[in-house]
Formats: sequence, structure tokens, C-alpha cells
Amino acid sequence: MSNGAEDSSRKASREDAAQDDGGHGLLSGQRVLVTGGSSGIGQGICAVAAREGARVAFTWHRGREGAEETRAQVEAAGAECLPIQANLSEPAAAARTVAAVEEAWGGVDVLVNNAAVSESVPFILLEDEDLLEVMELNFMSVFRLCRAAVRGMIRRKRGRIVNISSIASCRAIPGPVHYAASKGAVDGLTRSLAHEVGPYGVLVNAITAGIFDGGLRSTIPEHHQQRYLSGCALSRFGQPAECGELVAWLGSPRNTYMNGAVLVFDGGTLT
Amino acid sequence: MQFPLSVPQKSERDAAFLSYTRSICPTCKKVIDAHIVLRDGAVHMQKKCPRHGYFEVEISSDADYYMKSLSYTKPGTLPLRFATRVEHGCPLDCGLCEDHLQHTCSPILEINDRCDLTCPVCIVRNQQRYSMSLEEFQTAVDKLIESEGELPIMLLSGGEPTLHPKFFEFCDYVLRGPHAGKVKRLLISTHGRLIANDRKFAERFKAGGMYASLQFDTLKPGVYPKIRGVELIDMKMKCIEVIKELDIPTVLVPTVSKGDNSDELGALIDFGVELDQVSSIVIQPMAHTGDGGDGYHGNPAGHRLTMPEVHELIAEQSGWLKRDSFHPVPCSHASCYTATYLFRMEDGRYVPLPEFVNVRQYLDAMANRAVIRSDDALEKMILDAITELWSATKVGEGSEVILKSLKNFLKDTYNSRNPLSASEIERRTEARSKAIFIHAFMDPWDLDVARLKKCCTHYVMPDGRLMPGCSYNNLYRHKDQRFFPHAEPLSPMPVPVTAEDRPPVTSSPRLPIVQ
Repeated sequence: MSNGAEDSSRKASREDAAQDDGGHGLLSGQRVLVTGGSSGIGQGICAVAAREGARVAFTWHRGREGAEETRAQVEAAGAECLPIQANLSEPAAAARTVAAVEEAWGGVDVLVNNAAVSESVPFILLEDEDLLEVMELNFMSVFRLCRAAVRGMIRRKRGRIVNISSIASCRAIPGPVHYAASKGAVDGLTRSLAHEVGPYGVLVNAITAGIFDGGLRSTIPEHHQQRYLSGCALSRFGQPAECGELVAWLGSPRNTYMNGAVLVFDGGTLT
Repeated sequence: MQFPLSVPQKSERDAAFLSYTRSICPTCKKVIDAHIVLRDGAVHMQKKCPRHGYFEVEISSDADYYMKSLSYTKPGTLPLRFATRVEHGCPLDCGLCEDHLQHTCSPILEINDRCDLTCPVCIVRNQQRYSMSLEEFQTAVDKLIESEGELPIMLLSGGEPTLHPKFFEFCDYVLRGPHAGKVKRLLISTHGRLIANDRKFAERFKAGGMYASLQFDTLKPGVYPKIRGVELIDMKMKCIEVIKELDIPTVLVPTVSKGDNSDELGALIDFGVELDQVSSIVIQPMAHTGDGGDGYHGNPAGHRLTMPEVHELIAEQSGWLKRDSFHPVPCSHASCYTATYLFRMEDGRYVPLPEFVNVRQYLDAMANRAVIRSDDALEKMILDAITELWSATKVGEGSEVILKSLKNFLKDTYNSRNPLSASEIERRTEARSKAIFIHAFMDPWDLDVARLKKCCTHYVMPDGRLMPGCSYNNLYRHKDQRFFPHAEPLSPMPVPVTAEDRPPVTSSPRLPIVQ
């Protein structure tokens, strides 16, 4: 049985593959939007995307210095850069951000939802506002950005969304409950959205990241970091650029079949 | 044949025997047997020297506390290497010998014996002739790191170490030399004159990243002349002003002499906890040893402050600390170190951790550590305390303030909106907590090898040997050729470990210990 959406998906895949053949990098010619690009994993994703030939837009909130550093890295790779200051916890910010990229470059081909917040507070001390505050950025902004970006992707019958999740979403590990819940929500959104928009050439995946240098690592007490290292087959933390490499492939036209996957990306750690 | 008018009656000893140990004669320093006995609710050490007779000294004013404190012990940690063989028995093999039960938590390097004070309570014997060479210092530090790997603290002492002409070079070698990062805190035991009076020195001290371990005995005029030989109150307060102005991390160290400043413990603690720069207060009851301490009281009996007395005085004088706020620090002997850790609440008040955490967990979490740091045991203790307080049927006003304080502390410290480096987190934790230690040194009167064996405060010799503080002060210092080049050598001499003596490294290096 065939329908129009499936035809679109196959056609888009063939076009993606053809586009890849002609490009110089995995993301050659792609318009990539990365949220939370001023530090840690987000900065690494931006740098690799630029190296792979993408035009890179990224959001930042408070870290002006980090944003300048990201811009410098992107431009040093010879890529166009569009830094956007945005507080993605505000409901209207997601649509404004996508609109800004669409206005500048005509659309968003790859959306990477990376911006997140965490704080180490035990469950019994959490109040509603603590949970809502974390959910607002970690989940609601992902929902809103997907909704804003996927419209153009469906119209073009091509798009890639990569959500940066956490191993806290799928494993019983020490970690703040509200943070783990927000990442679990992102995993669910990823699987379900992949099913809904995949037929229109939009592939949606998530990466459940282990501990990476920079970013949220600072919210993890030192002894938990050491325990992670002792259970990690590679005995080290991930580097932001390593996450960037996986994002680059997932977001690239070369990825034509990986969809709805929630990929554990942690150097091989024990559960 | 004569008959006695009455039959001789056997009488009982005046004290109940508790345990046997070894000590030294306060006169000739020979090692002799000693009994620990209970009498009238207190604990005494009794011993008899064949030449100099019978000696008795109170070692704890509270027998119940003493017995209870001994009931808690933890296995010590083995150092990476020992320096001397077991040949003559404790305390004559120091260096450390293989029989020593604890590694080095608090190493002390005496870099000179020059001092511009002659304190009547001084426990060392300054001869005003020795300045450690940079090469000696480097060798000593190298060997110490070889023995211990990493150290939470190291203390430079003397004499007055800040008077050493290469003082800053020594500090740089520890903090920025080949072992950079291995010593978490470098403390300088000082009277504070240079910090108070020499701005350039103070600024360089601050820039160097050292902690001032400041002798600070009183807040009242008239006390320093008694115990330090000269009035120092203005200089000390000026020193504190400089410490505040330059934000120099500081440990306050009051030496407490019964009847001289023992009425000021509460005031000194209150003074210390209100200073942001002060991370801990180390109260040292006076030990009657060294050039000053030896003669401060003709017979120290009646002038001693034992551990429970210090707790009692603090409880009486502070009004907010209790006797049972203090517990032995399990890394050393219960009679050597007790401590309480304080947490600052939102309203600025400090609350002792033992008031809201499980004491057994608290003792486990504080085992073998000189400074508070994040680990599984500490986290479990705090989480359990939070859970207990939160789930209690009645949540009092105090509980709510504690819970709110803990939550805000965690939110501020481990939050991705304001990511902090590991050292910043440590600094913030330290700013939110303080510790009060009671460190009781021994003198020839109460020296007890059972305490020595678990000592973790060690003097570092230039040849790399590590001498338990009180064995060195009482038995070795006056024979140390650095300070007393004409002294007769020790007899018998400790025997160094050779390469053949060293046991093979096994996967489980702990000695079997029965708790």
C-alpha cells in the first residue's frame, strides 16, 4: 500500500542522497539551528556543523562570551553564522527564533534541540515551580521549536531534527528527578513525532548523552562524575565535538533511514 | 613468740584498672609501662619510673565520654610506603614504622627554628639557628608525595615560617611545582605579624593561595603577655583586618591554657564563625612540652584541659553549641581530635551537623578526612537528613529553615544556569560550612602509645621520615641534629626499611583489622 506521504519520503531520501554526492561535507549547504550553542555540547555541535559545510544559527541566553567564542569557531571554519539571543523559556521565543533563521536563510533544514537546564535538588525538596521551570526549557521549548520548524520541513519534504537528551531519561541513575522527567518527555516526543512526520521526509532522532565536558557536567557532584568514569568503558567524559560528529550524521542527507531512534551515547557505561 | 595486735587488712586500690599502655617518664623520657584507670568518674594515667618515681595525671574528666569515644573506631589507611622497621617497639621506631596504624592526614614541615617570639606555651624548642634549604625542602616534599600521593592539607611551621628567607619559594614549590594540584591546601602556621604589618608580604601571601593558620588565643588585653610573653592583641586584630580586607583564607588556632584564656572559648568561636575568611577553628589545649610548655607549670596536674572539659566549656560559654555537638574524628585517636561541622542557614545562623544528621552516618562521613568534601557518604548523610526532617510528623520551624537552606544551597551550587568549576564549588561549600576542631597534643605526662599509633599529624623530616607529632615533640625533637647538632644521637636508633623489607604489593593492601 502506498500513499502520498510515503512517496514524498522516498523521493526526499533520493534527493538527499543526490545532494550529499555533490557536497563537500556532511552538512554542505544545510541550514542548521542549534539551541544552547554558547557552551558545552551545543558549542561542539556548532563547530562540527560548520566544518561539515553548514550555515550555523545558534541561540544563546546569558553566555555572551561563549556565544562570541562559538561564532569565532563557526566563522573560522568558513561558515556563515547567525547568533540569536533568546530566552527559550519564554513561550514566544521558539517561534521567533525559527522565524529569524527563516528570514535570514529561507528555512531551517536541521534543528538541534540542545538547550537545557539542570540543578541538583532532591525530589522531596522540589516544588511545582522547580519542576515547571525545568520543563519549560527542557521540554516545552523543544515542543515549540519542533512545531515551529517542522512546518517548513514538511513543506519542503525534507528536514532533520536531533534532540539532545540524557541517559538520566532511560536509566535509574542518580540525578535530579525533574531533569530526568523532562528528558524522558523529550524521548517520548522524539519517537512519536518521528512516526508522525517521517512520512514527509522529516526524520527525528534523539541522543541520550552521558556526561560530557562543559555544560551540565558542572551540575553533577564530583563523586557522581567519578562513579560515571569508573563505569564507562572508555574511562573518560565525552567531548562536545564527539557529540557534534553524531549530530552531523543524523542531521545530514546521508541519514535516510534512522528515524525515531533514541541513541545511547555514553562511551559504553554500565547501567 | 609475739602475736600482732591486729591482723593486717588487705586494702583495695583507689582506682579501677581499665587498660594497659606504654608511656614515658616525664623526667628522663624513658619508655615505661602505664595503666589507664577509672576513679571518681574521671580517667587517669598512672605510671612509675624505676628512677624517678610515680606519676599520675588526669587524661579525661569524664569516664563515660572516654569509654564511649573509644567504642568508635575505623580502619586506618596505609601509606604508600613505610620508612622504618619494627625493631624496638612503639614509640622508638618512628618514621613511620610498619606498625603505625594511620597514614598522614596532616603533615607538618618545620622549615626553620627562628622566631621573634618566645612564647611561654611554645611546644617546640627554637634554637634560632636552623633554616631549611630549598633542596632539603624539595626532597622532603617529594618523599611525602611519594608516601601519600595526594594530601588534603599540608602545614608549614617553625619557628615562625614566614621569617624564612625562601618562604614564598617553598610555597610555590608545593602549590605550583612538580606536584601542583597534589596538595589541596597549604596552611602556614604563623603569629601573623608580617600579615599585619607588611602590606607587600600580605598581598603576596594572598596571591600565593596559602591559608593562614593564625595563632589567635584571646580577644582580651592582658592574656597574650601570660601565654605569648608579650602583648599582641593590637597586632592580632590588625592582622584580622588585613585578612578581611585581602580575603585571605584562614584557620584560627587558639592555644588554650586553663585559667588563662579558657573562659574565652565561646567568644573565640563566635568571633571565628562570623568571619567569612575563617574556614575552621582549631582549639589546642595546652601541652606541657617544648621550651615553653615544659616549665609553664611546675607540675601540670590541675592545669590540664582534657577533651570533655573543653566540650563542656564551649557548651557553657557559646550558648548554641552543645557537648554532644562534638565527636571524635575517626581518622585519629578519640582522645586526640574531636570536631563539629557547622552549616550556615539562610538567616545567617550556624547549626552543627550532628543536630540534624544521623550521628553514626556523620562519623562515617567524617572518617579519615581533614576537610569537608563531596562524596557518597556525605551525600547519603545529607539526603537522609533531608528525608528524615521532611517526613517527620511534626516539622518545626527549625526544620523548615534547615530544609530551605539546604535546598537553596544545592540550587545555587549545582545549577547549569551558573556553572561552577570544581574548585569554585569547593570554595562555596566551604563558605557555607565551618568546622571546629579540638586538637589535643600530648606531653610527657599523658603520652600514650595507643594514641601515638593512630596519629595522623606527622612532622616531615628532611630525609623523608614521618614522625607522629607527639612522639617527635616528646622523644625526638631534642635529639634532632638540625636543631641540636651536639645532642647525643638517639639510642636506640630507628632502623630504616630497605628495599628487601618492603612487602609485595597485593590487590588488597589493607591489614586485617577487627572492629
